[in-house]
Amino acid sequence: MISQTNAEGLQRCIKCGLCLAACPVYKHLLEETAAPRGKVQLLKALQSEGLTSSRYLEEIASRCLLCHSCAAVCPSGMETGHLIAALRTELLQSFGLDWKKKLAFRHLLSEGGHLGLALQMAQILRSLLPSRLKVAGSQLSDLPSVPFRSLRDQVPERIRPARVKTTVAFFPGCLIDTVYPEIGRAALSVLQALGVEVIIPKGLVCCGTPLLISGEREMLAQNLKQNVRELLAPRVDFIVTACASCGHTLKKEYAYLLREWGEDDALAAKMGEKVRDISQFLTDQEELKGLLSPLPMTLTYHDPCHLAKGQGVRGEPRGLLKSIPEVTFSEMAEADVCCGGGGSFQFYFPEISQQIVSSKAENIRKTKAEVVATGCPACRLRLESHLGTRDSRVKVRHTVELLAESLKGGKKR
Amino acid sequence: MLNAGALRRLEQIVGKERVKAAPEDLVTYSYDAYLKESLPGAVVFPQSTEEVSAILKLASAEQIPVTPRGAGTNLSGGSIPVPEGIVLCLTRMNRILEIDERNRLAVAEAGVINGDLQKAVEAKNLFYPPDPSSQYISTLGGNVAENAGGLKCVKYGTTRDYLLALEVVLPSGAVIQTGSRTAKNVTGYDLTRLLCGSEGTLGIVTKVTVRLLPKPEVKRALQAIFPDLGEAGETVARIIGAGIIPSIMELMDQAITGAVEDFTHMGLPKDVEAVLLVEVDGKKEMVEKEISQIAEFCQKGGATEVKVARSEEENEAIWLARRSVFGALARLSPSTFSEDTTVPVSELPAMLRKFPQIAEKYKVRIAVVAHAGDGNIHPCLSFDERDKEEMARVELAAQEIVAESLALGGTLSGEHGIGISKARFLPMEFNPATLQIMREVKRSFDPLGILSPNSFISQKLKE
Repeated sequence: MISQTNAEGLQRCIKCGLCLAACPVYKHLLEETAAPRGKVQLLKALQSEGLTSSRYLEEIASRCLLCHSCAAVCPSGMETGHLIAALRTELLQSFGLDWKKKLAFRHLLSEGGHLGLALQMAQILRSLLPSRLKVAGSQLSDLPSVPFRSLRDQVPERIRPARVKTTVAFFPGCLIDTVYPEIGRAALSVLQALGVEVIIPKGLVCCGTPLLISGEREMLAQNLKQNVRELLAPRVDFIVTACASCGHTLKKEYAYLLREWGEDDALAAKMGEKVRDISQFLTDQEELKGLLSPLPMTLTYHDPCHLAKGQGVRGEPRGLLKSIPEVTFSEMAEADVCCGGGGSFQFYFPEISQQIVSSKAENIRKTKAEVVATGCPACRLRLESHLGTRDSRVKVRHTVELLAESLKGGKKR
Repeated sequence: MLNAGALRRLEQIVGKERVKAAPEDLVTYSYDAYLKESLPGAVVFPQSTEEVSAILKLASAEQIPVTPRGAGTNLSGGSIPVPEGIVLCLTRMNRILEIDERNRLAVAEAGVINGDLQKAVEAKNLFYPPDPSSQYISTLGGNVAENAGGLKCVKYGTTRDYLLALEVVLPSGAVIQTGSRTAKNVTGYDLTRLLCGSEGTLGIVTKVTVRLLPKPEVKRALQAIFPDLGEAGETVARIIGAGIIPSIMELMDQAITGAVEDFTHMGLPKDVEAVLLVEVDGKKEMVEKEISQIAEFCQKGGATEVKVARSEEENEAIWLARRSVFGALARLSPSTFSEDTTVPVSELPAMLRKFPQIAEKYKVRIAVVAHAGDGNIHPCLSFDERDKEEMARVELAAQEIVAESLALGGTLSGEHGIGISKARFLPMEFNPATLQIMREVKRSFDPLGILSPNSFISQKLKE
């Protein structure tokens, strides 16, 4: 049954319904089963045995992006995301994991997993398939190509600039490591220019976000403990990541989960306090502004859920982007509404996901920006394939890539 | 549970996809924003007036109770269904059909979200004033049924003041039209106003025609700190008496202010009895003049600090306090119930003095936030529902609040509705003849008594 922490959390719901207005999934389905309030009531019913586990309940529980938008507006301060994750874990006891997820989790995301290799295989397979085939509403040809070498294959474990000011551990995260190593390289180059020594501990594994959202607790616990060990081993001032979801999980979820499991959370909390999103870390580096050279372009910014709502980081990336000379910043409507990705959500509910990302793309186009910046590789992946064809699309870039570009221009001039 | 035959007929009317009766669906339609819960027999999502009519014809033929519902933000329990009944959910009827700039009106289906209509008309420089705190999710149909108010009622009135015409499906399935697109209309009984605030007991609103206003040019907010609650109340009465009509005038007592400060850390003093928040809107020159007049009233009335916003950001900062009220309260105790009593504005100071006495007498916690400008007060009672003895004292305190308010010429509810939450107090406000004529009105619209089984006029759910 659900933990004491979550059981107490459930009692705080006053059923006011304000979470319905914030929920991207409810806004499209307009049914209470899709609403955060509805799911909280279902968990309550399950707990009081007014309801039993069912496949339908499992479907309802998975119809959530875990974007934490509901928690951000809840007057009672409910952590609805945690409750829904707990509901999924509960249902997993009855039905087990989908075989596809089981296979993927066991072989790709655990220690010694082969995510990079699998993506390479997928890449080869993809070249054999018709390019108009769709995956989660995206044409195969619109998805990014997977680079041959992962970030961690490209860079050494320790990168020392000429003069060392601070030392940080860098948590690359699976997507940046294997699909977008250029985001990682950009982050490392900016850090280097600022005299930051970077350590990427060899033993880091997937942060566990995909496991957490699937309710798979056992493997999550292994990954969690290994990452805490690896990140606390070297002597560093901060732990920096450029992935919104990894950052949120490391910073907020690890300690919460351990408390929920009735385990000691001291080490995870200590680790969590050191975690900074790259945009937070760079905002504190005052000399950065002086190093930036002009980047004449119109930019807009998409708030990743796990950064804006998960970590409360909204102003920092905007501040950094606006500090680049000659950037015209054009704020989009509903900038902090989810892109519709939600991890496996987009594969299980392609139609809902498609509707959500279409409104997002429309809001982006209205700004007339050439580039949409964001702070999460998963948002980038979701947005990229929905912003026009390969040649005419609005480009999606991580905030730190634009900073790196601006810094590089400085060197040239 | 609904019988299989009726369920099949519902599916024939709207299609299998839009009838839900799995246990999981029923759980999620067993509540609104009030404390009680009760499972329905089925939930149906019509998409047109014809479908609503067909469902009600079926319900009449089989005598099945029907509970109409929008977003389920009802604070008085009128959207809570009964086990043998149907929840008729209008969220899928959500098209804005027309925005007529020349006649300054809009026509929308009942399931349109209040905030969506506001956004659409504001894009055309128009303005739909009713703004209940559920505005970003509650539906127009629900707003009409409850005659929803909000912060701006002191100047702009409630939902009722913006209704021109309604399309309504009666319990028999007959579709009626009330009102017209005209600014003036005295033809026949004013059914529009009868249906508005009828809490879904007479008919189901499917289409709403509302009056719009030009969008005010500017707005400006002010925050005044009063060491004495009575003086704050007097100041409100004096501002209204002087002929100034603020767009918003909100009052928070010491308990609320303290809770908001603990929650937001925005720098509110915790040792004062009242904080008054005022907003004025309109033409720039007028707004400037009135806000300084109000500031003067506050200073003369005993305010120790008066802060006038100088920018949109400062306006927002002032309203943050008010917007945080329920969040702050919800963190104080397991359950909170907001009463909704309303008195004539001149009696506001007298009513405000009663709350500390009532709280003391029954040893309950009462925190007060008031739409002071219109006399609508939300004394928030905090309690633990599991504590039976405390609940009994809360009940007595609530009853005394009602009695005191009525003695001052007030009313039970200003904007939340009676529903099942305050039905037991109705005889305190109405004499038997008044209650009787209301029952007769109900009977002539709904002779079988199938509509909104849990309401002020009939109550199936046991307290």
